[in-house]
Amino acid sequence: MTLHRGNSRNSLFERKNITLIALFAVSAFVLLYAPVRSVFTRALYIGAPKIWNVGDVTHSMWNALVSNFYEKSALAKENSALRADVSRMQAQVLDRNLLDEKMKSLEETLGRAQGDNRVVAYVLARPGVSPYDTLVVDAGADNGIAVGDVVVYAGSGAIGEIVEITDASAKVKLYSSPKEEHLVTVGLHNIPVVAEGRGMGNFDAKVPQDSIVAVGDNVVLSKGGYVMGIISLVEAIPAEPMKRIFFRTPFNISEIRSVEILINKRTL
Amino acid sequence: MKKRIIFDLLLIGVIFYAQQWWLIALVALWGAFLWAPYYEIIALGILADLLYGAVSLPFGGMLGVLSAFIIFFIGSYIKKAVR
Repeated sequence: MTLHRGNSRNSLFERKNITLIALFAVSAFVLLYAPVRSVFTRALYIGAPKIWNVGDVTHSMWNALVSNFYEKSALAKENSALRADVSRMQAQVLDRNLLDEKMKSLEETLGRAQGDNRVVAYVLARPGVSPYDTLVVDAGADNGIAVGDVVVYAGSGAIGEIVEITDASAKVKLYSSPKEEHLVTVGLHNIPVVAEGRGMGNFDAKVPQDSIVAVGDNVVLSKGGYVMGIISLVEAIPAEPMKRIFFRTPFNISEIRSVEILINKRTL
Repeated sequence: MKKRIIFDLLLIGVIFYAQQWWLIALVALWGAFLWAPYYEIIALGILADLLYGAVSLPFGGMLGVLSAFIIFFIGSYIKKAVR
């Protein structure tokens, strides 16, 4: 009897293990074999944007209802919206200054103009939701977007690039994704350094101890010349040969509602 | 059975709408504890990977599935330990 119970327990254990191995194999096949993954992603993204839209509509309706009852909450929300606007405008000013400089330099040296072909896309899912530090936007292959296109916010700061597209949506990998490395130039003297992503729009980098860098200096992506962030902290220990700089995007990544995708502009 | 299906739907809702990824992990762990062995969690891991991941991302865009397996084992272990 005991032997029979033992055998049955063993067979149950084996069945569980076999099920798990089979599930892992199926998962790996679906996710690692690109054509299969693409088919499933496209099928999923037929309905997913609608589900997110339902969530957004419900959320704004709930906010409107609650703000009727709580004036204080409405004021706080307005304050937060105004702060987001200020942050966006600051980013735009940064961009304008940089563009102006660039334009003058180009006109002087080459005398040729350059234009961007931009597509505005609304954000469906933000990095806080996704553990990958990715954005999901509502523009895809139908809008002429391709893998590798650069994504900017408020016409200025480069935030990432397209890594996967479906017909009407795309996934954006943020430059600030943990462990992602990018060649950037820092400060007024354009010191070239390698910046490492820290997630949610944060980066850090090391510059030689005698470099002239200060809080508020711009950090620009070497390839493409897009603004990547503003230095928020400089950590210098005199005994060490390098000092560490921390910088972040001039806006809150998790509050982004729309982005611009630069078609045929690739940093790679 | 009905409760389990309702919980599955709740978890799908959390995957779509939760503002923080750790909330998804927490709800999934609760499910893995309540209904061990909670095989659905693997399918939901695939769903999360297809929604937010890409092949070029870390772990081949399988972070959701790998997390699902870890949560599956942790949930089963806790269930066994408190039984």
